[in-house]
Amino acid sequence: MPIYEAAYREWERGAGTGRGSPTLAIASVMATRVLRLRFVKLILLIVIPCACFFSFVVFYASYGEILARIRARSGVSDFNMLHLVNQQFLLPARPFAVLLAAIVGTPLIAEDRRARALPLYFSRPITHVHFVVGKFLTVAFFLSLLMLLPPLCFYIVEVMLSPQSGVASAQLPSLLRSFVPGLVMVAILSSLSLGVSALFRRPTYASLAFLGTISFSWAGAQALSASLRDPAWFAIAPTSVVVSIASDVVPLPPEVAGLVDVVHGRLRLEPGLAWLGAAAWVAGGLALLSWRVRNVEVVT
Amino acid sequence: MRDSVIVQVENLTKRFGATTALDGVTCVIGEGATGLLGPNGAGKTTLLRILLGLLPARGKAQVLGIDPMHRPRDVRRRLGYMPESECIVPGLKGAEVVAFLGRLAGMSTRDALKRAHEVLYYVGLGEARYRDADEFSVGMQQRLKLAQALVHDPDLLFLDEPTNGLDPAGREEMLALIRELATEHGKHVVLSSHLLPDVEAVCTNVVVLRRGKVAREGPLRELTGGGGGAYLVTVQGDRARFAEEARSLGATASGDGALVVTLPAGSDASLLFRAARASGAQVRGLKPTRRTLEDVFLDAMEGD
Repeated sequence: MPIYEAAYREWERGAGTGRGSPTLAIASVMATRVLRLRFVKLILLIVIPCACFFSFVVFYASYGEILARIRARSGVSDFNMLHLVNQQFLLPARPFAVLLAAIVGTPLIAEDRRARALPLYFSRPITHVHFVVGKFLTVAFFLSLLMLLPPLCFYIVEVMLSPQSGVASAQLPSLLRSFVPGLVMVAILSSLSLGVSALFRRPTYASLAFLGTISFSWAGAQALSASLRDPAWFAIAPTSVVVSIASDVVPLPPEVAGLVDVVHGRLRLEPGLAWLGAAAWVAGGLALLSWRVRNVEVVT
Repeated sequence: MRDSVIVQVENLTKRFGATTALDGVTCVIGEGATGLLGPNGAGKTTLLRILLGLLPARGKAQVLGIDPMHRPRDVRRRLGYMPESECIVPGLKGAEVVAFLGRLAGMSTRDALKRAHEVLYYVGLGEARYRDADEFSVGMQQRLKLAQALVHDPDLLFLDEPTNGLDPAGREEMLALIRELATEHGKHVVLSSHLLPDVEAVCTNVVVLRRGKVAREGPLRELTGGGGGAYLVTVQGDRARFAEEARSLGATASGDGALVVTLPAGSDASLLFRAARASGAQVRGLKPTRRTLEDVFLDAMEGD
């Protein structure tokens, strides 16, 4: 509208005007905000491909012996190799996921608190659920790029290199199952990073607190496994519990699973306990976040 | 509830621990622009937050016929809020902030963006639409806050200290915008401020809060009209004796040159002539004078 005609006029609510979703509005605008940060672009353009590459390298370095043994055995097909990859790639990808959550997730609410933006959000007809889910989706989107792309890459490479035409459909269920532990990891890190973010006004403090939480949980899991004299309990840490879930969702034939255990030691919890642990971490993060954004002093 | 009643609160009480922010507030806010006056800590912002549905409280409240404590989203759909503190959605450009908050109010992406440009032009930020909102000056941020309050075309505006941090010219422009919204565009405005000239410039009604209670409320014209009326009196003769006689009849008289005489309730100007006759002075000039909002405010602060 030209400046010389600037005057207040009523909003013409046209027939084609659809009602926007506040959750998607928050998620998309927050994603725009995150992408505007130069170092996040750097992360996405450089670190994620590097993480994927690093995952491959570490995987082959760690599992070279296992892969050699699998290849040496008759009756163990390449099929199981992809299973193994899908199940185990999470191990080297986890530190990158934690780093990405610290960079993307923890400033999301801390920055809003610093800029006192929460009264603006909550003066609109949105609920706390819209707010929490919108923010959660933002972090989950960026983490999903990291956690879901590598198995997809493995799948594409295998399909392209395989001389068998039916490999695409045969391996698809394995690929989809391999997304599950990745999504669990995304859910845990998203909720935890946002929960910690809601405690602070300075993004730097929030990032440090989040990294501290992850470190202390590792130390706590170590202490727990030592006191219970069972190394499997080490897997209760938020970034370890997904390995047990991966074992449950993408099961390996016993002989291959046995080889993995021989090389890396058995760190897997019982599946029920692993799922319970993951649910507890997600619920804890979301409860913390929900409690903070329902706090009157925080919101107003 | 009458159609002309925009906000009605009844026995509203809000406590924060041992502190009572609102103590049985009962008042009615009608159409047009209403000033919510009070010193710091009087409970103005708390009242607005309760009416927005952000704070729970004891008592009854209705905004545009809707209970904000039970249906806060329905209230906020029809209400625009300009918070007191410096606040901004960080990391976005001016137009993006307004469009985003429009989308949160239920507008589609396209409508919100189109409307954001319109309201930014209206508040005078058309040229700064694509600048980072974080870099806006205090005055620009105030305008941006007004724009985001207007983007979804609300029926009612809650403006909390809208002229905070503005220079005199900016303040005048902001008040002119608010006045125009109230008088020419049919918006109902609740203007919370401790700046009496701002309220006097924009509002037709006033609610004065003092220590969480309503100290005065009503149309500004009635409140400043005084009880028995006040007059600017020029006398020839013994001024001191005239003033003394006027006081003996229950009036108050003050002033160095022309005397300002406030009549007691139920009296009229004939009291002045009785005082003149008794003192042997002549009344040479008689001009009705109005009480200012400051007088009303100070009276309210001295109440109870």
